[in-house]
Amino acid sequence: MHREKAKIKQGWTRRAPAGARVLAAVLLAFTARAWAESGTATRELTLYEEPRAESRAMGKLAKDAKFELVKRERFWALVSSSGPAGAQRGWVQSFYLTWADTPTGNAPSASRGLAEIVGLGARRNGNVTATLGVRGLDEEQLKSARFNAEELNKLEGYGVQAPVAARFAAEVPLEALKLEYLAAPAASVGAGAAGGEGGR
Amino acid sequence: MMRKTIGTVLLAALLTACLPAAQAQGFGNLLRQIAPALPVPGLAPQPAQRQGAPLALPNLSETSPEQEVAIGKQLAGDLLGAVPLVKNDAVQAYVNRVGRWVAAQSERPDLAWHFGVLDTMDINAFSLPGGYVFVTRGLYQKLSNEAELAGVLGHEISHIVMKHHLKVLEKSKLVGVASSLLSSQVSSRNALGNAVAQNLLGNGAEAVARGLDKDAEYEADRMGVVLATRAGYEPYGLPEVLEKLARMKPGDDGMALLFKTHPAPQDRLGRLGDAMQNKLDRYGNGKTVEARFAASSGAINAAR
Repeated sequence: MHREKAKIKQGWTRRAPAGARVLAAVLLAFTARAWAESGTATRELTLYEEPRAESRAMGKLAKDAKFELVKRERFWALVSSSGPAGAQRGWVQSFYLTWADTPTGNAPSASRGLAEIVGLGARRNGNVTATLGVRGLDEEQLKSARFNAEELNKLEGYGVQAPVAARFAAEVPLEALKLEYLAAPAASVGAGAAGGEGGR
Repeated sequence: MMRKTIGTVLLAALLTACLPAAQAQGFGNLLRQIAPALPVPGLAPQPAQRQGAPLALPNLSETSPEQEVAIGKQLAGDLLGAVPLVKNDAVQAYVNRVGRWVAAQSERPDLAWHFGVLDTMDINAFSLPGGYVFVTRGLYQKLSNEAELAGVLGHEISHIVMKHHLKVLEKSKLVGVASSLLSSQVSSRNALGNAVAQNLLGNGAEAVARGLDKDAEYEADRMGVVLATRAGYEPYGLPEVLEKLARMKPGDDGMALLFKTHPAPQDRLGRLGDAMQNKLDRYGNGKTVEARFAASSGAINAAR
């Protein structure tokens, strides 16, 4: 039985089409690139021992400091950086980070398939719009739009009443909570400088 | 009845013909000259009004909920004239359920909320007065789970709760006249009445292309996060989406309009971080809901 399995495995390797081997190599290359993802802090940040603001502060990551991503958890990033004081490592929240070497404009995340990373999901990408015949939006197109009663009727037909939505939420279940809206920050220190008009 | 209808058609035709002049000299005056009996909120007949005296334009707070919905409906129809809905009932039904649940946590739970996925690879989301919310296929396909969708919809719902677009329209000071036409018998049965109203409002699709001021966007980000959290989702859905957008450039396909109509995503992230800090971390048990979203995502990928 064991030998049979080995034989099958060996057979697959030998018979693997050249395309699959190339694909495997590309996958490895892209995966390695994702691991080596690097970025910059847009302001001075506290490095935490764990991905929680209540955990122990390990030091500071200076504004404009370069770092390498080690791993992510929710909206936290474990980063390592080598500065004047030597190598540093700790968790920071992702609000104030910009990223370099982003091959497709997508964040590496557990929920994203490898196919998408290597472009096998290219149908999803905006740059194949033309081949799919799906229109993009531009201002001229918007300005010249004419009222479409048929589509509006369809849209209104999809609407649901609150009890339907509540049953839908109960399937998960999602539990409604009471909490206040967040106040506007008094002054956004460096936030504007972080992005600028042109974005990144 | 028939005479009244003919009269309103003639009025509408006259309004259309005179529109540029009407806008130049003040629409209310012209309206009083040719249609003193037409009921216009805030424009009650004022026989003693002096020639050239300031107009009694509609009070901003007087746009009724019915008028707001009528305006939103008109503008939504315009937008759908530019981009149709994705032809997939399952996806549209799914988005309406998620959206309605998030909207139920807002201060306007009883609006007739409508959500639609637009068939364009452009990456964007829109809202219009009265409860009309749209997300594009391009943005939908960037999302990873239901919490992210809830965050995006929460942002758009917040614009409607705060009447951001309505306030912009109200500043044009003609919205009272337009909404009166739209919510009257004239508009529902008469295309010309609609045409006049549309000229007054401007094209709805164009209205979304103009965008809102930055503070309105930051406010909608802060509120959207809270609405999604109130709905039981994990609070970081919207920040996750903003981070994905921040990794793109204005020149990337499908991003031009988003960058034109919104502050840069990295800027929005910074502002949102300042507001959130760790205040919502206690709600970290909120759900992301992967499986149900994955099914909808599969459906939208299959839809042509």
